[in-house]
Amino acid sequence: MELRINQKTYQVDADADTPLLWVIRDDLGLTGTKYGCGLAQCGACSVLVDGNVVRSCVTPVAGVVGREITTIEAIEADAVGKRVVSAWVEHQVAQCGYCQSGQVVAATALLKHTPAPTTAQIDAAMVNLCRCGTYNAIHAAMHDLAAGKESA
Amino acid sequence: MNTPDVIPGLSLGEPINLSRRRFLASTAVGALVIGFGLPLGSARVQAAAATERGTQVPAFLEIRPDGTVRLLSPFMEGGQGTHTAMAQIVGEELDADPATFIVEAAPPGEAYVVMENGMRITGGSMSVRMSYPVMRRLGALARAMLLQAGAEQLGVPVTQLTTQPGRVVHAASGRSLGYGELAGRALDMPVPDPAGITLRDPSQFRWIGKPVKRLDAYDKSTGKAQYSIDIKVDGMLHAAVQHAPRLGMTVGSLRNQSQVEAMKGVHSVHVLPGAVAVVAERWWHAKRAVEAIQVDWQEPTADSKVRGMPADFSSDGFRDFLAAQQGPARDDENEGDVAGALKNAKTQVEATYLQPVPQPWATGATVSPGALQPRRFAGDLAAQPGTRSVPRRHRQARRARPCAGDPAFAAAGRFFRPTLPV
Repeated sequence: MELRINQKTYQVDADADTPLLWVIRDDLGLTGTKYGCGLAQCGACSVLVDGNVVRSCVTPVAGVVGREITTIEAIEADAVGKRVVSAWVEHQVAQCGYCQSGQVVAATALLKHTPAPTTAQIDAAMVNLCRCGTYNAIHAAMHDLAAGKESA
Repeated sequence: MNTPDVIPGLSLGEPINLSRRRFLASTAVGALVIGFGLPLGSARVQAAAATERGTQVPAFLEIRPDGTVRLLSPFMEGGQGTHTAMAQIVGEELDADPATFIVEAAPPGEAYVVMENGMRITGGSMSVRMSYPVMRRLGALARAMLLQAGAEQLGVPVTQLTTQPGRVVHAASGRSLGYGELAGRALDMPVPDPAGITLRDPSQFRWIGKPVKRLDAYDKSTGKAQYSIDIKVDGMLHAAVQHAPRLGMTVGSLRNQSQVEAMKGVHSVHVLPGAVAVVAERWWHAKRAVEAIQVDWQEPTADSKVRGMPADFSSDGFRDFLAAQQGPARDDENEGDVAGALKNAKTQVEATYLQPVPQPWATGATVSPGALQPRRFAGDLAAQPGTRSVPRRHRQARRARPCAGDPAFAAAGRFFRPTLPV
């Protein structure tokens, strides 16, 4: 089957029900997207499908044929994604960093749909787990982004 | 977090006699360096055992032509920021901005046993505390070597030279040379006597004790940081494990082994102590197959060495058991007149706190799964896990399958399980 990932076309030989995550990571070698729980609970595997955040660990690959997939590797090619990464660095969000690919993707999805989200909208959208507890830094970065502040 | 590169073309199973020329010829960038990630078993790394801790400058530092400083850290980065801390400490004495550092995990080797307790482990908030003077001196030794190289290159006495961040400066003539320009010459300098090294006056610190941006913030915000689960080696197969439902149980028979072996992508099925595993070309196939295995789990036998979990165990039951315990309480801290202060307090608050027993590991659970890569070295296998103790994992890997050579340890970082013994 044919997949569109990060503006490129890939020919993929995988079972139709294989989760997108494993095609991205193991078959295509794009390891920036992480495997956390495998149950769509933690959000470490978040990717964009047609601009919407999707948990790739439970998304059958056959379901995203013909859609435009964006992974963390291409997040800076998106103007909103680039702003998010800058804010993440500015606020020194990452500690271990394992969940941050998913956090940045989730933040990008929110801001693409809602450029100036309210606190309630941020809280509702930024629900990925972080075991380091970087939530405060994430929220500080999100509030800057929501307010249109540019990071250096 | 990245793997220190092993030099191409070298079999780690052979005794290594690595000439500088051969090293330089083998580096992709052709950088002039004052040091490099020494291959395991190297005579220079081994020799460090006989010398003072942290004086083997070339084992730790490489200065690239553009002035970038690559530091091999004895400690593992797991989100606590120790790699940035090492850059602050070494950079302060080397006189190089920590922002110009690339810090990677050092391989096994006596040279990297820098803690004052004679260990090399990342934990217990010990990394900075127990290596601080040694890592400072390391930076100062490297700076002295660069100064000496600068004196030779500029043809002036070393006493007339000083440094600014990343540069050797001859104030009298206004000339200066970047560290990157001097690294090649500095390589040939003997490491000076540590006794003759003066450390920087702490009142002049620019980076030690000052807020510094983490070096890995960008890589970790863009998916570029590598974790143990991300490492791929040629021809790698994937294994997935089904653990016993309770600790202590053992594998009886596999009721559907032949069907599982016939499942798509399955390479082999394995019975392990208290677990079964499936190896497949793709991890997804391994996971599906291992979950399909029907195992006759056996209760632990009387002579089991494992203290098994009872069949009627429950979290609530264990909590109630603990709560019902009688006996003397232990005061962890008792300063001053506690009883009097409580008695005279305007407000008294009583509460019962329950540690989330009996899952002490839950408090240290990570999002990232543990992962290890078996690797083949000189025809033998060794396992390479993510770790916070390179020497210990190294020993374990060799015990698991003694190998002729040393596995090149790419101890990829991940967030530590704070309570899990490693």
